[in-house]
Amino acid sequence: MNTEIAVELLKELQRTTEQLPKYDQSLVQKVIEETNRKQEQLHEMVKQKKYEDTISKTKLHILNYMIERNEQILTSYHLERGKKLIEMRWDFGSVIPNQIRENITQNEESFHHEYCQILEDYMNSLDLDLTQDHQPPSNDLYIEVRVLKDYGQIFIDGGQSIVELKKNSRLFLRRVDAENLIREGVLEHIISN
Amino acid sequence: MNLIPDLEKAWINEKNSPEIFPFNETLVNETQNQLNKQESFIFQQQSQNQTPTFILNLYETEIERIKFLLRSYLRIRLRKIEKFSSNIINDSQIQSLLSEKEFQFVQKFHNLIINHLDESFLSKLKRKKNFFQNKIDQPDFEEFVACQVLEDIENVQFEDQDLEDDDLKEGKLFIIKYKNIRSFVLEDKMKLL
Repeated sequence: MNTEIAVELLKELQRTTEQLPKYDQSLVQKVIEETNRKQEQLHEMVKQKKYEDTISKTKLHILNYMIERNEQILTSYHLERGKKLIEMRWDFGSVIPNQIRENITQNEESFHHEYCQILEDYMNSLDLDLTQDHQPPSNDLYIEVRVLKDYGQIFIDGGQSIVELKKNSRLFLRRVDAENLIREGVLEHIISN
Repeated sequence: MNLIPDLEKAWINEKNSPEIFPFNETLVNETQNQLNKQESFIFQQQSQNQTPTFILNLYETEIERIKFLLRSYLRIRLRKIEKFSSNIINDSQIQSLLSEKEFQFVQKFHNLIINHLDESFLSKLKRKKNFFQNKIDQPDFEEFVACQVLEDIENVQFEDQDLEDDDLKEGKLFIIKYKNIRSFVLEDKMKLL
């Protein structure tokens, strides 16, 4: 009868050891149904004008409060997950890692995709990639990297040359060119002492 | 380039303040112009083979550092804009702080969020409510910030703190609640550190 079910959703988010726990479709559905039932109760009481006495008034207040609380919790649940999906774009790039992909819904996947699109549009209008350069630049223009998987050819030097990325090869690349690939896990920065 | 100290100041202000500052359009445009010119110059020098490579590399390193400032400035603004998107949509005063492109971004972003929540659960609830009314984040002006006085300011009274004397002398450093010095920073009489 209370909003305990909804709170379970939030607890799931809090307890998880993974990036994003599996979207709990059944729980969300239960919360929606419970909220709608309470809404119907409320509506019935108002329709039958059963709110004269103090007890009914209190009941109405409580129903209203519970409905709002459920709405609030559902909003928080979805927004929290949404924020994590947005962070992934900044941390990983526009490709969602497979383990996380298993845990999100179709809706969430299109949400992520559309966010990437909106971000892309903005960055294109500026002609600047804002997802690069997260740390203050070291003084190295070039860094040494090891290729972790076969990736094929990439452009470097502002599009002037092409280089082939073969697994286990070591290359000396411009930091700008390498950064995104390091973040995606294709390259590994070799730090020499 | 006199732009760099200004860009640095704008960057630090954005970074350390809980709110969004007015977009510095001339600064950004001018910086991008200069960067483009410099990059063309380097490209030209490379094809002519006159200047030694290591000197060109120095130029390139400088460009990377400036680009970092620019990217970080825009990125910090964008993440703040995402955070306060509801406030922005509802308040035309805050809207004037954004650039044209940032405003287009936030409109699309806000719609994305609303549609996502709608499809996930809102449309299935019997009662439609404008839930954003309940849960809008406000920038936290109670935060403590480190700041420095840029020009002498007289007759200053802070709400909850007493100063040795009422005048703020140029060069003085403070760690103080943001709300107290907010107007000074916006007028460029103080800067954040």
